[in-house]
Amino acid sequence: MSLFANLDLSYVLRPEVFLIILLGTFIGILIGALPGMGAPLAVALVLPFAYKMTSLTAVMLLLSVYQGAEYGGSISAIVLGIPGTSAAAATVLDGNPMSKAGHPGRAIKISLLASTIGGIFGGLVLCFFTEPIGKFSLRFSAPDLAMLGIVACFAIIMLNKGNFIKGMISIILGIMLSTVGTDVFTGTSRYIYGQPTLLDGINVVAIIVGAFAVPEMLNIISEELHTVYVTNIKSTKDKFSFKDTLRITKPLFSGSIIGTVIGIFPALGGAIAAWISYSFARKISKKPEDFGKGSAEGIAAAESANNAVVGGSLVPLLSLGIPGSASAAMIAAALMMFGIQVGPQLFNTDTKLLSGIYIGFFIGCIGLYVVGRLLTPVFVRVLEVKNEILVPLILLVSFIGIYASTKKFLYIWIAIVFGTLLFFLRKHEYPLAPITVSFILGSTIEKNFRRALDLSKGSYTIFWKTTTSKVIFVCTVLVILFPIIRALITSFKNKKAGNAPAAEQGNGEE
Amino acid sequence: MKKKYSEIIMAVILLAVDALYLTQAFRGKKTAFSYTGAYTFPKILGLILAALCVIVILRAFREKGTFKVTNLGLTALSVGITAAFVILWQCFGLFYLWAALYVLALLFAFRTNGGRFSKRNILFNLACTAGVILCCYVIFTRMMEVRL
Repeated sequence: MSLFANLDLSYVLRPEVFLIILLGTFIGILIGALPGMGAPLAVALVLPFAYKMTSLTAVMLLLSVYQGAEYGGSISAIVLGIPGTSAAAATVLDGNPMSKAGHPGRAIKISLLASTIGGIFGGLVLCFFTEPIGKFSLRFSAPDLAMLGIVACFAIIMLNKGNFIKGMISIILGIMLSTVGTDVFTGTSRYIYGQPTLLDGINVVAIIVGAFAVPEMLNIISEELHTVYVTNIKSTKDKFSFKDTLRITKPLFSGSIIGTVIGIFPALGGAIAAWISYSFARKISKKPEDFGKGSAEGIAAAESANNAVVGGSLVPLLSLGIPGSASAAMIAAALMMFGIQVGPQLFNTDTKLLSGIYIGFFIGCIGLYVVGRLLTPVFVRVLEVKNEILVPLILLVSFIGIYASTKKFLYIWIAIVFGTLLFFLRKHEYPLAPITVSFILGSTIEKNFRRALDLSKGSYTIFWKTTTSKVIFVCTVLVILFPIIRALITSFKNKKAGNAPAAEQGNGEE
Repeated sequence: MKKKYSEIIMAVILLAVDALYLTQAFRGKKTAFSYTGAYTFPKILGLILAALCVIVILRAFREKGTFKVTNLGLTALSVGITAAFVILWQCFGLFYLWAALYVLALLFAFRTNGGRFSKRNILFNLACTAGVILCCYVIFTRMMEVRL
């Protein structure tokens, strides 16, 4: 681990880093706990304020918000039975019954412990796997990198059960937005429409606020403005002993492993990890009949998995430059604000930052436990704050964030116009997360695509020349074809199911 | 509105944006020193998007049911208030004045329980606005030294 050889502890163990981690965790849990406002929105809200920090503190802020939001989602899942984030949906099954049985504090403590253990496990994998994968990826040439970028974009929509065509449109829109600004190959100004501000491209903060905060708030105004959540919880001071901890060891570790592995693959995310881990824990449990009735093992399995995803999702980001989730894409965006390009080159140019991220990640996990233990009762009360008060606050903070990081009103306008358009696209079932991911990856895809064509003197066979290229090309084709094949199978099954009753009816008449 | 029509309208809006994008791409000058010009990639993207939008339009004809945005009036009003806030802030500065009015206007638009302009609501909205603005001032202007 050459990265640890370069480790400078004084670079990480500073009061401001600790303070930022605690603050980020607090904000993350707070926003994650609010139903309907997930980790991407939490990260999007703090991203604009990261520009004033050093690169390490900025990344630590975003990571602790990400971790905190993943845990925060479980608070409303347990207390209200409504998951704060999609990743906490599996937690509802056992967390809410345990809470209803009069032990909300116990359920929250299990969730917090599981989230912390899952986070630490994800961090360990991040430390030990990022460097080897990153060093291996240095062998990748321009065509490989272009195709990897395409794979990452398509992976985001591959598992989306919605319309594949609409998912593709979202990807193309994101890449199109990344083409605005000066072309690095020729110096041509593209799509700036007389606005010199756009010469450097559209600011990533405007895109992220436009893609997450604005449509989300408009959606709340449209559908959930007057929703009132009532918590009948008087105390969260249930006991959770060491013996209880020992009972959940198995699901804790199986969840951590499953979550980390799933996190490494782009787009799978916390929700899938939590469900797989939950099912697995039920299979290996001595008391599977308790699952769904307030089982501690069920909560531990789901929560350890969804927090382990955070560390796992950073592995492809730091080693290959591929963000596996919208939140990871925003961490990449934060690094871009400091002129740091994520990917294998980090191992040569920013080893100090990388080792700082590793150590900071563990401090973040401990920070999550400390903040969670101390302030959970506060977060439970926050659930009662009405959306009609939160929406103006979040919108105002979003616009302050854009202005603070760019000092340009143009970007606020872009966020409003873009966000309103995306609100309507979302209403028509167009997924929004691929827009951010493809916007972040767009310039990498274009740069490597053109470099590859220049190297091959315009021949597209370069994408199929070396063994590595062939493997990645096959992966790209499979990732693109998978949703099409799935859609065909589903429509075939639907047709068959539609014909079956008719046939039965026919037989009856005979 | 029928879902079929709303899907088509959305796809046509995207096609219009794409047409604008493609027009500039095809008007762009070619470069002699590279196999790929500045607009090669945008041309590919634009053409793919056009094809995808056409597919969406064709599929829309099979759509059944209706499309409705609940609270459309309130949503549009919120966008309008937001736009007015940014215009005032951009033209006159005085961020905190416009921000206070913005938050207050949104609160009055959203909070209707017990009468929009009841004494209780007015007091609550004023107190809430003062709290939000004070927090913003302390956090952003004082602590983060953001010039607004």
